[in-house]
Amino acid sequence: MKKKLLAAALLSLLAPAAKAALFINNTSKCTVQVRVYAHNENGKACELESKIMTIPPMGTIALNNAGLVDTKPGWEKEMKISGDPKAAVWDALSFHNGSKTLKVGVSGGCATVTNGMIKDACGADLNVKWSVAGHNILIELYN
Amino acid sequence: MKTLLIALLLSLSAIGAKAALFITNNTSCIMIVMIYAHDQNHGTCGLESGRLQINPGGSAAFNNVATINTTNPFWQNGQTATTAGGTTVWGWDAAIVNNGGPMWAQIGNPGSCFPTASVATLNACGTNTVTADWMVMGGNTFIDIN
Repeated sequence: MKKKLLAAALLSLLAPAAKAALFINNTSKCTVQVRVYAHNENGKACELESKIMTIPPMGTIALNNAGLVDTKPGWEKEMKISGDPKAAVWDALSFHNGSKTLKVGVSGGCATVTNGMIKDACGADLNVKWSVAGHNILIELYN
Repeated sequence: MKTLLIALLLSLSAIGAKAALFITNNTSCIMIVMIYAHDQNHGTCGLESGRLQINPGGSAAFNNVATINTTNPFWQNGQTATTAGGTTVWGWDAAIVNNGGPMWAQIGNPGSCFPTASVATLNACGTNTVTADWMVMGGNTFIDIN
């Protein structure tokens, strides 16, 4: 029974990320700069790399689906989502502090960790954490 | 392996000083959301927001109750929220989700003004049934409209 429960919990973690909103929440004391990574349905992990998004302290970004990134802030190499934007999958987020980058995301994507710590641009320790919350993906940045 | 699983499960329940509200509209219809919250000056559901429009395939995010002091949909009647005292003092309580028509879902935390977590409304989006869900996960609150 216990094993089954754990298996169910794990399966829910591994559920495909399609039809998932991506929420980014900056509760740190410093403005952060991030990029998000995604792929089209049947595409290759992290084939889409967003341009830089800037989030002030206590700021948030809400992206219902990867198609919204097409217009703001756009993808690098002028790429666009192809096919159903709601079927595109979020893969990772990278934080850049001016000299170093920390990338968090799903396993099997282009990130090697789901959470980590790095100095923010203000010199404080910053946690960057990727988690799955129901159908949604949440990235929390906090000191 | 067991340790890994336990660590994984513990990390799921970790609660920090973060309690944002995230709203997602996965339907093909415009949804209107009104948000209820509390802080040190307002009891449970004492703060009531204006009407927040969320378009089909749209989402919204609020870092904390004071965020709505300065951003749409604002608190009604000139109310001002504060995060003084931290997340043990302020928090999100409930919401009304409607589409201007047959849908009127009242959802929220147990013990709040709308203690039901999930409400399904028939034919709320054309011929489609719409479900509004209120979920608290990892200290954050999610309203999913599907």
